[in-house]
Amino acid sequence: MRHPWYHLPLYALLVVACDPATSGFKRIAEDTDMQLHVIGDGEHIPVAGDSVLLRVRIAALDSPPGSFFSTERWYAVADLRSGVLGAVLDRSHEGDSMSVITPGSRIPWETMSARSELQGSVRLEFSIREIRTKEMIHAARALKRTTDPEGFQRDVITAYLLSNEGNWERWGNSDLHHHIEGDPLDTSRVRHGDVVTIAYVGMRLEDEQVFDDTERNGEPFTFRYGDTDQLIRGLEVAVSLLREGQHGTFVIPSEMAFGARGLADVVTPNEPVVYRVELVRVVRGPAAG
Amino acid sequence: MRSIVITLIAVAIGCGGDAARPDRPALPGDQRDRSIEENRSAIRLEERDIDLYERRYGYTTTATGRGVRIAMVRDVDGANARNDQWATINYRVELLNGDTAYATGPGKPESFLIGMDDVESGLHEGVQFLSPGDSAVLIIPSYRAHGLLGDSDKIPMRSTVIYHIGLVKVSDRR
Repeated sequence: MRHPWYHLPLYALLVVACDPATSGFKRIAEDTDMQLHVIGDGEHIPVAGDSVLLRVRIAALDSPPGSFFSTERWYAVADLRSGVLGAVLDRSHEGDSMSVITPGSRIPWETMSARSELQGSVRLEFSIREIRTKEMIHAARALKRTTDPEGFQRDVITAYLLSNEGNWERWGNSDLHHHIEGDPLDTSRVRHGDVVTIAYVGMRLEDEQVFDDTERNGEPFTFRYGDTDQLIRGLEVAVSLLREGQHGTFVIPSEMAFGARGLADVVTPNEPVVYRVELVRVVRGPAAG
Repeated sequence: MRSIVITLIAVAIGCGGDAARPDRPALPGDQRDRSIEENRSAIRLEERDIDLYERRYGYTTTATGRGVRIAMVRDVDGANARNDQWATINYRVELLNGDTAYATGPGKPESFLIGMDDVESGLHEGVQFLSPGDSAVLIIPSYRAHGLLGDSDKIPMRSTVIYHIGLVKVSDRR
């Protein structure tokens, strides 16, 4: 007959292992346990710079799940990584859903925008609904560029005008915008047949990288106004808007610049450009009827 | 009869000077739970409206932290604006239905002191993701903008606002 306490160590072990609060949990930090419920099919681990759509429910250990705080919204991963959530995020992918038991002091309450804080052990139900990375955002922009070039171009032009101090005016109904400075030497406009000299600098709208510069090419460009195929359409409009002695900046949409073909190696298809133009000299031609 | 009047006056005076009254009377438990639940569902509905708006206009946004979403449209190199700097911005404020509420005129950008001035709290947060020359779309939920009441002018109650914003320049506070 064995001593009645012979099995006691075994019982004790059973009781510890089946502690209802943490059974099935894995220790991920010194005071934090995690249990995975659903494994999503995502492979990307959220890193700083990403955004995650989170569903979070927080409650004290002995109260019903989510009774203290619950939300579902987008968070910036960089903000969430303080406290215990960094360790949790390192072990999670898109679609995952898990429970975490951790001391209340390790939860970034302010980032979660909770009104008050819970002390003691809390239980966190945590699921990652969606992850959005920087690459995905670049890909979405690239997609819009190919599928909706006009909308993309309008976005780019609007953004340029917004981030700029100029007193922009729109030319009629088009997407050409201009902003003209300087006092005119001659108030009458350029007419067909006039010989016009202009100095200009052509830049990409995106990063203001210069691709065409009359000064660098040696001398200003002289041509007879009205002759076809001398200039891009946007520059002809620019000349018609300027008076002798004035200079201005012109945002030119691609259909009035290099169109759907672009300019080899410099201007991509459907890309708007910006020109700084100065009307240097006008030599009046024979007055047209 | 007179004693009754005196008693009534005494009661009225006695009850009027209740110094210990809390600023906000606590709601009974069930009513408080209900108002929390209503606020929660209002926020959830607003988030859904914003999702639909993004999808309709093809914006792919990132979260800035406290509920504001940002879609960069023009991103040039440079240091981002910081707290306690003057930001000069051009903007167009729209509502979810596409109406324009306010806008700066061409050539007339406006300035505010980041972190201090009386503009939407979501704007203080969003502008710190921009460097001079950048332009973005900020989607600010009502609780980071004009809240429950609106601004009693162009922005109605509980309205999400959409800022098309361009940061022209920043300057340090002197």
